[in-house]
Amino acid sequence: MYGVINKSLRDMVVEQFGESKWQEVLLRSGVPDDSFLAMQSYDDDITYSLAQACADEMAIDLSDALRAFGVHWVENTVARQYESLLRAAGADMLGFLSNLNNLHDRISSTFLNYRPPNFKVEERNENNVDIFYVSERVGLTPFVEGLLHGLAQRFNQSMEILEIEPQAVDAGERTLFKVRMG
Amino acid sequence: MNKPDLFWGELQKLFTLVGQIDSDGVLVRASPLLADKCRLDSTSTVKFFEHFKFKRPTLFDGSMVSAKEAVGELFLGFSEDLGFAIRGQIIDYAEMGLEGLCFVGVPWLWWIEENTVDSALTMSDFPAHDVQMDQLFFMSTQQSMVDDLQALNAQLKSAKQEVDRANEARQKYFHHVSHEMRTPLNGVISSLSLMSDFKLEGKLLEYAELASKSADRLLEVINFTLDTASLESHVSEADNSAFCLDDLINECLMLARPRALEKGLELGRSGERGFSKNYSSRLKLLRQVLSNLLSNAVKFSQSGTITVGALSLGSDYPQGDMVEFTVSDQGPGIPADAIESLFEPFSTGLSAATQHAQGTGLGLNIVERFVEALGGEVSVESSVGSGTIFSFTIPLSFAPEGAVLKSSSMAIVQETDEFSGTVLLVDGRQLNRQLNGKLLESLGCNVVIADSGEKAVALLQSNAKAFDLLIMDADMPSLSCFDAMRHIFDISGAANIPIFALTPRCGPGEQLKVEHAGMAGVLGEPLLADDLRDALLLHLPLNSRDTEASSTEHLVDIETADTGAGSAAVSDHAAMVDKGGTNMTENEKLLAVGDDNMPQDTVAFDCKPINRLVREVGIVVLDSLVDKFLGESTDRWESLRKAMAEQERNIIIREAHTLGSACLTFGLEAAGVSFRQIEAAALSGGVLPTTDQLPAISEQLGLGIRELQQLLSEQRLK
Repeated sequence: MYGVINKSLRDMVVEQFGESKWQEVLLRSGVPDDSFLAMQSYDDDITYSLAQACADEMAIDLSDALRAFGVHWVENTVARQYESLLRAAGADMLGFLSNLNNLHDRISSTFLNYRPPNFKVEERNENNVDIFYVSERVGLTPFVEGLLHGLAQRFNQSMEILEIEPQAVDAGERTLFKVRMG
Repeated sequence: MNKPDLFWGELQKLFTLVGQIDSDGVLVRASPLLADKCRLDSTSTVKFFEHFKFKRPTLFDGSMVSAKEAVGELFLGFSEDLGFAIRGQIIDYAEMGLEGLCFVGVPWLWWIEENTVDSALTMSDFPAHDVQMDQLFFMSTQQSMVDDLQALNAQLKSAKQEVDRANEARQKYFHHVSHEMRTPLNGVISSLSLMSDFKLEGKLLEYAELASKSADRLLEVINFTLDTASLESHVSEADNSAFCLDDLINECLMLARPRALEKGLELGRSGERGFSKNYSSRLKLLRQVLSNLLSNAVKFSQSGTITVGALSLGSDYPQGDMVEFTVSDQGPGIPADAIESLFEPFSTGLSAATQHAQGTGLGLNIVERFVEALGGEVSVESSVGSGTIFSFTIPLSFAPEGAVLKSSSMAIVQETDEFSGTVLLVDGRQLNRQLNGKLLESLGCNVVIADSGEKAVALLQSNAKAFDLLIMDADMPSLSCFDAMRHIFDISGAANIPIFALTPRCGPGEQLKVEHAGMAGVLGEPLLADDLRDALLLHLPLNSRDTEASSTEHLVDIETADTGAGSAAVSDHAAMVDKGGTNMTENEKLLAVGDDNMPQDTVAFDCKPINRLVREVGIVVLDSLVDKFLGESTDRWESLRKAMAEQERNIIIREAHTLGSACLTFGLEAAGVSFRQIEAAALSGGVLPTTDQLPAISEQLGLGIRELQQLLSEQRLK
């Protein structure tokens, strides 16, 4: 994953618990240093190790840590660094998610190691929406759950995730989020 | 359906802004986004090229003719009223047999981002092939990257400052520790040396030799630690000096000669001689490398020849030469399995054949480090039983034309040579001023004396050109030597005057410190004529003088004064001291305290400095200087005693410094070392010495002075 993800994780811990806690997380993770550069690609294991160390250090489940990270990612990292893109990608949460693949396509033309997930939005009726998340990476569904909550807050919309349904795939991960919009 | 209709739908799939323009320049049909932004409806007439101001094409004047001429070029137009901008190209319908033009393009994202608060544009307003959104993402991330790098840079700067601070603290620590360790160690070494004057036998002799060797090795370890620390802290700083390579090699050979002669070894040169050009490099490092290698070769060889060679390899090095140095011996050689770790600290490479030499294994590590600092790599070839060759190749730059050479040509200097030039001698201690002034005069120098840093600065400000060289006490109380240096550097014409610091601390660390401060070097205290001569050689012109062999004869006289007539003088002097017992001066009384308690085998006086001084300044001058010392020392002793009782650190430092320096100058070794220890303890900032130790020093001093006076009496008789 790109350094921007690891940096965001670091920022979350530092903002909420202070630098010393982050240093404990870093020590626990076994990752040698935290001089991440946003545009540099790092091994996925680094991100997984840091996330697991965060969970262990806070004495919470990894899924809870990833959910919190998903919210932080939208509310802080994306909002601070990619505000113009966020605006351009949609006026509401579903519009944004519909454009997200388009945005990922464009990013892929610049970042050759970029392996983005895919989102598909299907409106079942006026308020109920199915959001399909497909990724070649495993274990990030809780992160996406947090991300959806973050987006809803970002666009001032109420949203309830009714059901999270893992779906069978040969490799990676596919998840259906059944969502009700307010 | 006409041809534009045929393509209209296709164009809108590729571009979000598509507009059909008739021959009058009127926008007759537009894609939804363009129509919306141009407020095009059935009632309005929009002259397309007047609706926007066009930044590009450069020569476009807004007419249909000009637009047709610019087909294929990039159109960049904007409307501040609309808060909108376009980028795209023109298609000429004439190529399809029709009239009018067609604009195809996209919103001009950068203008809109720059000039509008909320463009309300979304990703769907840009076709997939348009790269502006890619650029927007890239630019956002690029900014993040720049922020990251700046943060990283700040972290590195901060870390570097922290390392520098730690390094500085370590340097101070090393300096402090070296002072604390070397002062008592010098006392141990001096005492052991004095003990060798007695006829020790059996186990006593064995233990004394063991103690002496151990102390020497400990001193070597301390010096190694200081050398290493100094190299690490100054390795990046320029320390280049111009020198003559022939002279440097001869100088190193000269230094090794006495020990080589003792062992019956031959010393010689190989390679080139008579290098036509002078070089510039870190001379101190190179000299120490060659000296260490030579010293090792002498130490481990029992027979044969030791040679030092230098060979210019010519060059890929345009500013100078690559020069290969070799030091070879015909000693016992180094076992193959020891060579790999030979340059590691404490690795001696000793075999059964060389075990006797007992090296610390530090000299070669210094050699390796210094050669690396000089830009080379040291290597070794050795064959057990045949000998060893150390070699290294380093780049030596050519010295600039007219550069003052620093290499000492001591190998060819005669004691009868005389210098010309004026030396400004700056010292707060009257005795030192007189003695060192005489020493300088005896070497042919004109001497001007200042008793403080302030006065020296004033003299230089009035006429810097009058002086060729400065010698300053490093520990002056008011304006320190280093503070004075800063003033001197600001004086026009004074910045280039070579300056030597006079200090009892003259190890490599101190030398680097003063050179780092811009000084020429260190002169050890007490100041020896040979050291002074070597220093002057580097900076003052030398004139030969006809001595009529007088100095040689004088030297012979002094060396024989300890026998024959000397014994009569001893008796006379003893009688004089006894007779004057009741009329002794306060100073004599003070120094005589505890005579009865002095151990009979304690040697408090070394005659060699006095013999040397008699030779250098003459008995008359020396007599007056010793009288002056004895006269002053009462007050200084009392001042020191009082300061120690009242724990006045600065006064203790000043008085102990002055007394220690004077005692060592006149050979009062035991007392001198004791005063130095007091000074060192006070300088260390720790617990101050107390008056408890003064009676013992008084004993040392009293005994030493009696022997000094006895020797002076003998000299007077001669």
